[in-house]
Amino acid sequence: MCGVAGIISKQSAYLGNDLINMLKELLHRGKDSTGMALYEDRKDIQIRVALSDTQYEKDLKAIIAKHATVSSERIYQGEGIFSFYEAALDMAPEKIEQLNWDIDGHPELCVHSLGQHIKVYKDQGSAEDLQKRHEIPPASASHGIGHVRLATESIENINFAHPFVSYLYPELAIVHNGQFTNYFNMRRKLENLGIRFKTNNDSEMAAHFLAYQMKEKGKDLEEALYRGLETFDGVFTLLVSTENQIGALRDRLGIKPMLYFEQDDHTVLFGSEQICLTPIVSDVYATEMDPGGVMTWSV
Amino acid sequence: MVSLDLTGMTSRAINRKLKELIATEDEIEVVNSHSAHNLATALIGKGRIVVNGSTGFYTGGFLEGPTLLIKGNTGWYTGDNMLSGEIIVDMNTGSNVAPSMLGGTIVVRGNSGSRAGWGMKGGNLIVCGNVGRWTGKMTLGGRIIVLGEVGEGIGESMYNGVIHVLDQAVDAKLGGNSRVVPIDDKEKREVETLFRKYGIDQGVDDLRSIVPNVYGRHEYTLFKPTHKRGRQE
Repeated sequence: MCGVAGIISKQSAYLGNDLINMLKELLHRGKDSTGMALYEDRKDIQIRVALSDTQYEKDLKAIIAKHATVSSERIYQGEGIFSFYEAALDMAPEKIEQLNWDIDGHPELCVHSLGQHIKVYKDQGSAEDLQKRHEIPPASASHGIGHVRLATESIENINFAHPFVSYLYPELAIVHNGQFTNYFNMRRKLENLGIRFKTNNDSEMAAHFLAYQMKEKGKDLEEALYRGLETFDGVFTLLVSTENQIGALRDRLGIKPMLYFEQDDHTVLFGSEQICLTPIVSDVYATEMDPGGVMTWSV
Repeated sequence: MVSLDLTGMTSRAINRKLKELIATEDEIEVVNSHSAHNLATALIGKGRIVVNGSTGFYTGGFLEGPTLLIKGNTGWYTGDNMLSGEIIVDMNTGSNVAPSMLGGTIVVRGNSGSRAGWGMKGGNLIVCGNVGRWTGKMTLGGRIIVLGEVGEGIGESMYNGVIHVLDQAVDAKLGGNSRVVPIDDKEKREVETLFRKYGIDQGVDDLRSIVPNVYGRHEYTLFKPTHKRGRQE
């Protein structure tokens, strides 16, 4: 089933907390994993990587040392077998793509986020587990998207959990509710363009597709989403975020739900169900997004 | 009147308890509803249930007889396949209210979402606020009344039944295979009776009706063979 949630709140000092609270209300839509992408107001480049075993830490550090110097770091155990490495890096922004590519080349390492604003937390279990285990700061962030997963298309593995990012456009993150039925055709097309996939999850294709449209084709988020609407086949409700925008895309039959509520100029809430908006606004009438709709909001 | 506190109860336990209570009680008050799903599903009886709060998905599905008054909001698929009785929602409902409803009356005092009255077969659905898209899609019977704004594709692929709307801009939002016609006097009287019964302060003269287009053959003659089996020589 899966559930998605998102929030834009320019004035919130607790956006991380707010998003977690929204995801807690969506627990019934998926318990396999929970994830969120936050866009923080910060100056440095930060990285988050999942390691299948702590013995690969030295491999990871060797790869990072080729492109960057580490100013602060931590490594800790996740809910399951995976460990997480988080660090602030001193590096040139134009080397981000190469570093991302190199780390993902290692079979036991997976980049969850690497960029100037973005930070992705994803792990197995509920939103409550994620909050406890990962010590997510209350975070003065401007916007974020989140996801609860009920695995239907690929294995239960935290690297297959949402949000998905793409090395082509490091600040882009997507969460997806649904299934792409033209995944293999699309994957073949994108691989022919030289794009490398890290997982077998269908939603990763959407991340690479949109990142490719924005990076290589020079389209903006809205154009990329329209291109996605023409190209993707199947059932999909997508929330897509970049460093300064959140976009939403819904398939033409409107199979998967998507509600949004614009509180004022500063706050917009998104969610699969009305109940996930209640931690922020207790009793409002949220608008259902149109089937076949594309919408974007600037932060 | 008895009071039922739903705190900590599973939806199965809630429905078992309601079934037990409705057999003997005239009125049941439900407190701390915590947006419980499947409330009063497949409940048969004659009593009245008053919920002080909001309920979740599939409220009053397959309801047969009781009156259900919800003082808050309900989730999606309220009154799914309802057979008879009443569901009155004081605030909003989620999408797909009254799908495949067969009889009884649902009154929504607030707004509803998309696909209200999808595949309805009988009974009455009254929404005092706005509805989303595809209202009354593929309905087979019954009556839908919308007093607020309607969404796109209203009455799409209707087979039978009628939708009364107040929204004057409905012509631009009409779904395929349906048309807008003036409301007739018999319908006016029926709607007026409903409005009076549920305390809805609204005149009926501005209402217009959406009915399905009629194409092709609508009278059928059963094939009755008249020849007799003869003995073969």
